[in-house]
Amino acid sequence: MLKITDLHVSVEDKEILKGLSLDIPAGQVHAIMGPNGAGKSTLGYALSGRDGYEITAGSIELDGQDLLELEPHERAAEGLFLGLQYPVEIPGVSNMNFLRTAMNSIRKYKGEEDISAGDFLKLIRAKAKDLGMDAEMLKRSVNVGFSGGEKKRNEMVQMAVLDPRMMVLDETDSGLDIDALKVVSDGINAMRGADKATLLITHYQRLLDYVKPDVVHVLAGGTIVKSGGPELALALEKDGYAAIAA
Amino acid sequence: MTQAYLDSIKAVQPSLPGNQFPWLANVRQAAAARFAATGFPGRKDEAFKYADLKALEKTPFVAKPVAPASVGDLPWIDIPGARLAFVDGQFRADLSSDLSDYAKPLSAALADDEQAIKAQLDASSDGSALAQLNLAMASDGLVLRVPENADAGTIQVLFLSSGATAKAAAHISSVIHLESGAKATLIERSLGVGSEDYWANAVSTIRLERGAALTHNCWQSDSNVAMATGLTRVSVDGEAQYNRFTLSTGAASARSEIRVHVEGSDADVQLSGVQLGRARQVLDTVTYLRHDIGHSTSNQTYRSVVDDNARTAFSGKVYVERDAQKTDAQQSSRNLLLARTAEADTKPELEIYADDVQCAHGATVGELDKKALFYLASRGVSPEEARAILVQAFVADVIEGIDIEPVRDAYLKATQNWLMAQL
Repeated sequence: MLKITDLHVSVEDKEILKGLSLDIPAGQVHAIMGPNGAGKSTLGYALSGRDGYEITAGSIELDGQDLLELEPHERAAEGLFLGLQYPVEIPGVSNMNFLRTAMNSIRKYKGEEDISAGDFLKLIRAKAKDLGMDAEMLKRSVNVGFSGGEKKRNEMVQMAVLDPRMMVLDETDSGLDIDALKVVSDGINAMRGADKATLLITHYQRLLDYVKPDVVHVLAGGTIVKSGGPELALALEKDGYAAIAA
Repeated sequence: MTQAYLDSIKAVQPSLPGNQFPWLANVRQAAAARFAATGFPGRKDEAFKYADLKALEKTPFVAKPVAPASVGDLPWIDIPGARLAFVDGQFRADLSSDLSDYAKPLSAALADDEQAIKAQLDASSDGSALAQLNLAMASDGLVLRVPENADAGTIQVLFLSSGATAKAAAHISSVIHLESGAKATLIERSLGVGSEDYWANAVSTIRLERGAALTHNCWQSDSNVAMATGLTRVSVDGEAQYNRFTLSTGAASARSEIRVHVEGSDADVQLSGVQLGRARQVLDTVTYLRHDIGHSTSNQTYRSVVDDNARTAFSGKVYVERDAQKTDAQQSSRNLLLARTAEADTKPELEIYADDVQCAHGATVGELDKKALFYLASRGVSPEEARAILVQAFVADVIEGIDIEPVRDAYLKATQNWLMAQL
């Protein structure tokens, strides 16, 4: 589903990713692990097309479509979702309004009609309930005054409502207590399916106890240095990145 | 250029309403003399530092407008109450409806009881050259007089400029007096329909006696070639409330000045406004809030959004007299620049002689939050829509403070339309 080939990314003229290749077939969950500064977050931003992340070489394809030709909102409309490590607060814009605008933008891109107010309300309430988010929070400004766990939960609600096919989750587990981690994991697992794929970007093995990956990759020095099964994550946890990446 | 205006005063004065009353003819002549003595204010005049009035001097706006017989459907807000329409500075009974005993055009009020408004017009001699010109040649306006403890309900007023005659001027003078305990809601909008440039110059003199309450919502939506200047003077007695919101979206150059004197304790003054500027517009708001007596509150909340080569300004002065202890005066001015070529000026000023007061001001100028823009994009929202949603959020907290739903909706819609026109 997602095919990354020899990707080179520079930020402020400094090369961060130096020829990263990755192939994630539909139906699979891959995890990318790596030490701080390995380029994990850069990968997420480069995939979503954020300003300032310059692709100097390589390609990114989503089901054969060249993502590099698309703007960030077009990539999202094509079914790419980036869960942020630090979800942004937007004062004055309610979660409802945010998601409804997003949903209708995506529909417009696909040439579909806007979702009716009633259908939208039903959908968002159901998804919030599944993920244990209080319906009152939907009326509040996006992430304003939310705890770290609530922000991540909100990311999961957004993901569930927008129903992407390719999910890239950047450190979604960071800063979560064990209960919040379970909620988030349930959210990710609920989105697994034969026509979907997930890329978990994480520093710790902990999340992988709850979301079983099919393949684990180790990112170091801007490239994938090792790939393997879930046991690779356990080895990393035990021996540290230095031993594996060496 | 001053001479052209003086000639025009001379020409129109005999036809002005109430000119048969010697006191009023005197008031007008004295105003003309004050204008002749000062001429137009310049940039060196602190209160006019940010305004752009060059056009008024370059070629005089003295043409007599010829109002077309039909101006199409007027954009009334769907809300019950009296509706008064003025076209090119003249009251139009045919376009007005549900007139109330309390609200009349100046022309009719002078004919009915000229003494009743004498005191307020007599006392209107202060103010800039713009106010003097207005006093000397105002052709009509709203007179709203609400007796003790009466509730005048909602009065909606439209000031329309036909834009059919180039360099036409409409000077509107409104006199509002709420007696003790009286209440009223006044909703004003100025707008232009034609393509010619014009000058709309409005002065309102408002007196709120003890315990009176006036809610005053104004929308300046003049045509994009117009000059729109306004002055509102308000005297607020004890326990009275003045709640004012101004939306400014129109005109090539607009200046709105609000001067409030708090003359009693336990009064409450709320001033707020939103300016939306684009192209080469210059939108200027000047407020002056004077607390003479203590134990009163005032709150000012202004937001500006500026795009292209437009310029907005807010200058807000709060003056607290020595005896006005326990005054609570707050002021906030926040400004959002949508382009590097846009400019927003904000100038808070506090002059306080009392030592036991709560006075604070905050001013910010910034751009749209790039992180928020990316966040919205990453969820599929197009850049145009992302910008619109963030700008709306920026002004929403002020507009949502309006508690009359149809008015609030109309202003939110106006904001939306402004944003859509940008796309």
